Formats: sequence, structure tokens, C-alpha cells
Amino acid sequence: MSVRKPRRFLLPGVIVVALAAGAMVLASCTAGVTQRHLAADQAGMVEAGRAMETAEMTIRMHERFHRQDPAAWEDLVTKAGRLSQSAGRLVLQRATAVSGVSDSEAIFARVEADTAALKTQRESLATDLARALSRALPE
Amino acid sequence: MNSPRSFLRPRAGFRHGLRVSLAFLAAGAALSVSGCCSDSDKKSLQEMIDRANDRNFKACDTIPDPTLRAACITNAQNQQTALVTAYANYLSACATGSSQRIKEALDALKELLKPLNRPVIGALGMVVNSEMVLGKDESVCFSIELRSEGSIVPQDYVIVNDRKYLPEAAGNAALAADQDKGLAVATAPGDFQANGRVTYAVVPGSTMCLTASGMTLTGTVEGSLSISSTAVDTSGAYAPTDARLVINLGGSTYAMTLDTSCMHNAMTLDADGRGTLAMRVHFVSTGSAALPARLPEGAWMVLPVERNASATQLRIGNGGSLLSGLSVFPTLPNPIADFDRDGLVDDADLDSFLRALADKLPAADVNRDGVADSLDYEMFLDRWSNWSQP
Repeated sequence: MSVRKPRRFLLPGVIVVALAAGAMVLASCTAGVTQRHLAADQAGMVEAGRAMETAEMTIRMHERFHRQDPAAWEDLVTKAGRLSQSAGRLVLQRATAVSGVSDSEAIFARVEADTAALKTQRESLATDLARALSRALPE
Repeated sequence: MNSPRSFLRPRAGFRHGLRVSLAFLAAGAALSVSGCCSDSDKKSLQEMIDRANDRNFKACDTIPDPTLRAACITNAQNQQTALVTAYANYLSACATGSSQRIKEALDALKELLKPLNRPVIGALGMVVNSEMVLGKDESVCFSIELRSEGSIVPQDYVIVNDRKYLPEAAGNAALAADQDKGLAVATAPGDFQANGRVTYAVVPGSTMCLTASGMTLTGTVEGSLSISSTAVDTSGAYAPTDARLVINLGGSTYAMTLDTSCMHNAMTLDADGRGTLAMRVHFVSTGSAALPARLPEGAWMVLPVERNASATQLRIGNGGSLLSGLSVFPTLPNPIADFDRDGLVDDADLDSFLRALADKLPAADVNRDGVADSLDYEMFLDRWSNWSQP
């Protein structure tokens, strides 16, 4: 049985779809709530996109350099997985909120904190990644 | 309550099932098939997706090979992307109010929420990242030798009226003989008794193999199995009273326990000590699984059994036995479908289950994940649809 080559993952597409879904709903019942939290909402989506990008970059670099320092890259790739999952969760929550559930307000209220946490997580990984890359030898 | 049977009769699965189940969860006993998009629908789906993502990412944690681990994480990301996209499509469909679109979106989500069979094969040919769930057409085979270590010293065959019986079964045999012929002649060394109980320990090194989606994995099994005889049952069926197996399979560990509440558990032996052991069991993963293949949470097992020549061992298995299928217990209903345990699968079971689910009773937690929710409804509906009589 052959190993299936994993697809590259396409989070920006997800965000586009999530935003599109939001836009469709926005016209109806949650316009007010979403507009009130528009800045936080946009910041959250931008951060989710950055987080996914960082995660994907880490995995790509892992493929190239993990043989040079297996332990360090194992740690990095694990963090990338966690970061990706956190970003996905933020997108998911946001999509639910925009769709007009009764506690949209409460979900949006958490978005800023979740976005800040995601940013911290991303920056930590980015720092570690930069450090690892600075030690990596060209291949 | 009006029976929703007409809606549920086809093997509807998620298409009708989730929509109906979520409606039940949202509105108690009120039935809705109108493709609603209530808050609880959305929250339930979000929770299911969250759980699936969590499972997919966690599955990668203990994969030792760095390349495979990275591939596993990428797979998990891809799956997450697909799930979030499908969820967003569902929300879009909700916004349109189109029942057809909602249905299609739910169908797409259903496909994605199914556990994946996308294996990454390790250097030794072992599957390291796929999640496999045995389906009804897939098999598990056991090769387990159980060695007696119980309070009753195992004896050789007991002869009752010229027929051989296991010692622990001889109490029944004697009763049966007594009823039929007015006498019982037992010729065997040592004592035997009704209401006896024998515990067999699994011989170290016993093996278990699992076949799913064309892949076969072999592991080891340890544990014990207790069988009891009764004083009054003359049918030749004996009850498994306890079964505890720890299965090590490809780096994962699973604990199997007997569902003692299942009235259909039985070991049936002929006079030569051959027969079947049928029981409902639950599997719980007890280790950090490097191999995220999993056994079903609950399953019927129908295993061929045979007493060995020394009469101290019970040998289980020979080739594959269907584990989670619907046909492995052909004469008795699936215990999930037979919710009220009356031996029939009918509308009464559906009503009972829905009431239990609405009240969030533990009995409604048929998939044994600790919470009575739409996943239980999905499982119940699947079993009920297949077992109920027209």
C-alpha cells in the first residue's frame, strides 16, 4: 500500500469560505453584533491566517532540516500542529458566531482574548523556527 | 408521541438522522424534519468538528518517525480545513433557508466526520496514522488460549448419561438428564456443581489479529474470562460473567470489558466441548496510541470456542469472526437497537430511546462516550434501522 502524499493545506480558502458564510448571514440576523465586533473579528481572521501560514512553513522546513536536529524539529512540528488546531478552532467559533446563534455576543467577546492567545502562540513558534533555521545548514 | 418511523425507516444515517436528532436535542420531543438550523444544531456540529480535529491532531503526537509525524499533522490540517469549509457551507445553506442545500451540506459534513482510512505506512509496513473503525463487513480474529485458574479445579469431561460435558456445565447437564429421564449419572473425577464459576487466564503470548480495510495487524492479548453455569438453565448455554482483556496492537493498548447487562451473552457448547462464545463487549483505549486505529467502542463478538485435549484450556478463535457487524448475531437483536431489552426491535425501542435521550439519561449514551448526544442518536438510528422489523 502506498503512502498517500498529503495535500498542502489551504487555510486561506477556509477563511474565504467562512467569511462568505458570514457575509450571507450578516445580511440577516447578526449584522448588528458582527458590526459591533468587526475590528476584533477581522483581527481574529487575519491572525488565524498568519498562524496557519506559520504552521505550514514550519512543517515545510521540518521536511528539509529535521535530520540535522531531530529533537528540536520534532518539538517545532508538534507546536505547529497545536497552532494550526488553535487557529482552526478560532475560525470555527467565529463562523458560528457570525451565523447568528443566540450567544454570538459572548463568542465575539472572547474573540479578542483568543486572538491574543493565538498571536502569542504563533510568535513563540516563529521565534523558535527562526532560531532553528539560523542553526540549519544548507542542504 | 407520534412515531417518526416513516421518516427514519430508510437507512438514512446522517441525512435524516442528524437533522432529526438535533431537532430532538433542541426541542425535546418535538419532531422536525424541516432542515432547521437552530443554535443547538450549530453548536453540536461545531462540537463534533472540534472533537474530530482534536482526535486527528492527537493521533500524530506519538508517532515516532519524524517524517510520518509531519505527514500526519499535514493530514490533520487538511482534514481540519475540509471540516471548517464544510461547516461554513452548512452555515451558508442555513442562511438561504433551502432545505435541499442544508441537506446536502449535512451530507458533506457526514462524509468528513467519518473516521478516515488514509494510512501512512511505517518502515515496517505498520500503519501509523490512519484511524480505522471496523465496519460491519470487516473482521477481527482471535487466537486466545484461556487457562483456568479459578476456584474450581478444572476436571476432565464429565459424563452424564453417556454424553460429555465440561465440568462447569455438568450441573446443568445433570438437571437436564434428571428432567428427561428421571436419573442422572455422572462419571467424572472430582466435584462438579451447578452455579459453578471458572476463570480462565489468557495464556501469555496469545495473539489477536485485526483486519480492516485490507490491512491486517497482529498484537498480543492478556487478561481473563470467567464463565458461570446456572442451576436452572438447561439450554446448554452458559453465561460469561466477566471478561477482561488487554489488547496490545501496534503500539496501542485497548481494554476490553464484558457488557454484563446484555441479556444475550452466552457460551454454548456441545457435548464435545465445542461451540461459540457470544458476548457484547466494550473497548477503551488505555494508552497513548501511536497507532490511531481503534476498535469499536462496543461490539458483538461471536467466537468459536473449543475445550482442548487436556481440558484445562478453552481455545478461542480460528480465523476471522465478525466483530461489529449486524449479522454476527443473527437470531437476536442488536442490544443497542433493542433498547428496552424485550428481545424485539420495534417502535417501543425508538420511543424509549428518544425519551432517555431527551432526559439525557446514561442509558441513552449508547456509544459510551460519557455523554448522551447526537452521536448516540446516530448510532441508535443506524442499529435500529437495520434491526427493526417491517
